[in-house]
Amino acid sequence: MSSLKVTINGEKVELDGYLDEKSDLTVLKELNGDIIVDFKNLTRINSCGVKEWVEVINTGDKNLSYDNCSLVTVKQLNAVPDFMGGSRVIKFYAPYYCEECDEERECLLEVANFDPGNVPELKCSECEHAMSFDGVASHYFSFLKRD
Amino acid sequence: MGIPSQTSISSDKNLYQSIYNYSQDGVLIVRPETFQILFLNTKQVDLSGHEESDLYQLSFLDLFFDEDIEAIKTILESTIQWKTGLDPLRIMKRGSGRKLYIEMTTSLVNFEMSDAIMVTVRDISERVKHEKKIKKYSEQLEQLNSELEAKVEERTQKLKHANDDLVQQNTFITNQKKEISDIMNNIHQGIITIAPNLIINKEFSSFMKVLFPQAKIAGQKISTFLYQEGNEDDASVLDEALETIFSDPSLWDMVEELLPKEINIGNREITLSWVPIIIGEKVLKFLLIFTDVTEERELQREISSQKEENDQKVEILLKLLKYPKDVLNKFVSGATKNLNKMNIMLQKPSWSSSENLKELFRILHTLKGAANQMGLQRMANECHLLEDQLGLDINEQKFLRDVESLDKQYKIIFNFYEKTTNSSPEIESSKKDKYKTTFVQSLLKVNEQQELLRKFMHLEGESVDSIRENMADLVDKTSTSLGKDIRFEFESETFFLDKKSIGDLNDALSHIVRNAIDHGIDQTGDLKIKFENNKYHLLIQIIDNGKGIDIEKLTEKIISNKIKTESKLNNLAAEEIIQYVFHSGLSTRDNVSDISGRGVGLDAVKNIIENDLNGKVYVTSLPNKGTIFHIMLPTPLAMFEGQYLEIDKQAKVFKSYDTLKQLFSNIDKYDHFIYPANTRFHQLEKTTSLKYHHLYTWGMEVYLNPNYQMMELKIKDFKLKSHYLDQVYLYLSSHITSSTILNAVIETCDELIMNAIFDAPRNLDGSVKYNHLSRSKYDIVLENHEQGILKIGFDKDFLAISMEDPFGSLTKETVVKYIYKAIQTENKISNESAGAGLGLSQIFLNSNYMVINSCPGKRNEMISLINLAKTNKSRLLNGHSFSFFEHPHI
Repeated sequence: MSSLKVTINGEKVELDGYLDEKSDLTVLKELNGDIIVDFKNLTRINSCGVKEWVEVINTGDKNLSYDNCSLVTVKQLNAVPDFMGGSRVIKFYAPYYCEECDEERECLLEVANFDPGNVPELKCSECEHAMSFDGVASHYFSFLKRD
Repeated sequence: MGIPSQTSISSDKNLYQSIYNYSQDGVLIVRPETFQILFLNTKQVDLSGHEESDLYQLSFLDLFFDEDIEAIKTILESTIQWKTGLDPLRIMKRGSGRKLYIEMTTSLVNFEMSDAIMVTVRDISERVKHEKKIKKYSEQLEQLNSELEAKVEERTQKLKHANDDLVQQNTFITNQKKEISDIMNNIHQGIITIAPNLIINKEFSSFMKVLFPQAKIAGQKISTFLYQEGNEDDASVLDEALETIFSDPSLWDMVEELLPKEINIGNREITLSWVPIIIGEKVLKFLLIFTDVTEERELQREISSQKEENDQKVEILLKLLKYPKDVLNKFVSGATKNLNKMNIMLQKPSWSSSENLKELFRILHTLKGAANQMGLQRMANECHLLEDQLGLDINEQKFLRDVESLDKQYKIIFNFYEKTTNSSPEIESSKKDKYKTTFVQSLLKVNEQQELLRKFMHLEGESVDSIRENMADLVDKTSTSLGKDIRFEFESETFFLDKKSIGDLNDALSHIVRNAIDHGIDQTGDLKIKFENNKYHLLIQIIDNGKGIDIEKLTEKIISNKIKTESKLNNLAAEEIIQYVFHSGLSTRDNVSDISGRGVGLDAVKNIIENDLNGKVYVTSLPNKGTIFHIMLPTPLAMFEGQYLEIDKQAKVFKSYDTLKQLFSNIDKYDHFIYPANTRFHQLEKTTSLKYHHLYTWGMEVYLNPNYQMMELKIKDFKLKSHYLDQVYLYLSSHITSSTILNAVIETCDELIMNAIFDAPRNLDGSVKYNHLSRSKYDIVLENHEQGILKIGFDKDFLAISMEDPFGSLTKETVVKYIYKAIQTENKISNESAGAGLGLSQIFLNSNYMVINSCPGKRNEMISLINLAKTNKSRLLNGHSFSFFEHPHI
């Protein structure tokens, strides 16, 4: 049984679950043209999943955009350049930390309005206190340099 | 066709003959319509290589090769149109068929009343030949130029690289110089260096100005600097001695004694230490260290004078004075601290709670041990009696009275001590410790100061010989007291440790020695203490040939004291159960004595070794063969040398990604390597360097604090991978709240499981068993002997994940290759196997520290350590380190 649910809605493809050796990406392989992939609910990626994904995006004639890239997706975008290929990132999640709540938060950032040299200060949705970016900016946003 | 008068020549053949017969150029008159030659001069006859009469029979076109005919016609036609023409290079066919290079000019003339074309022919064969040569030379020149440019480019690149290297070296040297300068500015010793011409170099430590405020230092001849006028003989001996060593370092042993070891400056006593800095076979310079020992000497003299006086007054205190000042200091300092601590505790209303009683027990036991060691039998007895009273039925009033008595007795000792030393030991030692710590820390930064550190240890440390004396004394007293016959042996080379470590070791060893004599050896036996100080750590063994630890009795005690259940103990090996002797409150001895037997001693040993000395202790024992306590301590030198790139010929510590390339290209040279992510040689790397020397070779447990928690899974069936991962998640999610860390753990376990099932297994011939199979299509089930073991453990600082497999197929080349891949940006996905070739990289990037233990062909263990820092950021800033250890045995 596939560990990943792939839902196609017009140009948009939603991924839900784990991208690994058991992920069935056949339906995505057959798509061509403009495609927006929503990674919001992709919660785990292993090395076999990376290999499968790279094979899919290099099949056919696709013009891919990555939307709502989850933290695990960004991790792979940074670690394996081929995972991104020639795709464009629209929005992605970034790790933040709220000292007040002592909680990690994931915040959605839009590439079009984002300056990697000026990571935005955001407020915690729970307590309204300022949160700090919880990563190493030079590393976490490095995938944007290839966009 | 009209002919302009200025160009018209009205002539006949004779006229042309008379004008052109001696011309240097050939001249012909040609009828343009028929190409008939109407006239030619002698030179032209010569150039043509035909007989003159024959030439008049030929067409002008016959003088040229077929391929040029059209061009000749065109020139003639254009001459008719434009009156003149020029053909700068043409080939004429000579009568012999040979080629003649010519330049041809043409003019329209009137000859014998009709239009004709006068052709002037110039032989340019020589010019063409030269031009060809010039062209050839030009081509050669061009080629030479291009080769030269390539050479210049190559040379420029080489120079650039050399320049880059130089810049790098300069930066390194600048940093080193700064660090050395920091030391030289802060050290409380005078340090100078002496050049081969015996002149003092300009760099010297700031303390030299304190020692020699008036003197000129740099540029002085050393003999002149040390000796004033009138001491010419001494100065001359010094000069000769130094010159001898500079010219032949092998004579150092013979000449060293000629160098002065002490000087007086005013009323200050200064010792001198001479250290030759030898590079290759040459003495580069001399390091000379000046140490002000005035106060220490005064104190020694004062002690020895008062000692004589008091020896005659107080008999009991004679025993104290048998000990060196440092031992006395240590005893008084420790006893004062413990008694103060006990008295503070006793002032609290809850002092008799069971927790406090345990602590009081530890204090009294330590006091008793110290008093026994000093020969203060009465004090030791009082401590023992107080220990006896500690329990649920304690008579509080009596206990407090007896403590008061103990206090009084100690006061006598303390008063005597105070009079003897006239100073507070705590203050002195704390000052010295502070100074020493600063000094060592500053030294740790500098690569080229090993010799200086050794010298420092020699000057400021204490010899291990003092432990030898203490232990011999203790064995003598304890065995006499118990009526046993013990042969004692102490095996060690002389070396120096800091005084605190010597004191702590004395405490720990006293407990073990008393325990061995009281518990282990019946009536007669051997007891041996063996020190082995290699460059990296200090290994100590305390060996007795007694009856060994009674494991059955120990097991009973563990169960009856509810430390562990019987069923859990059944899963432990005998050597694991034996380690419970270090557990608080456990003893297999039925009757307690004032020597040992309450178990608290070994509990204290573990505390001292692990907490005070940052070491490890464990015990091995065989029934009726004996018991060995093993202690392993990091020495200051071990930590110091860990900073170096090279540990020795077999191991290397690497510091940056650049050197990973070096590692990769020299991989065959090393069985072990350590690759710290940053220059901080933190606890993990220290543990790893200790591990390197064989005592703790396998297991992730060594990286965790003793109170770690752990789960374990056997990895068998690939179909169950998600089930294994769920189990790990369930286990950790109740302890770890960070989803980032949980995710990193699950990703790491995922890769480790795939690795254990697909990559590790080998056939008998060593070939891969499942590595070539698609992970998505094959659900491999491993045989029992093939299964891997996944362990997850954590303490408050670190989380450790390990996977062990029985194949040992992961080579160091593979490890370096994939880790190198992880830090690069290109060409990551592998097509070499059915896997992605990314697993190891993913594990590395999820870990703060990765360790691979390998016994090739037999066993592999991959350990991933994740820092449990509060924020993701601090965890990431720790970087990624890794180590590889190849072991000959499993």
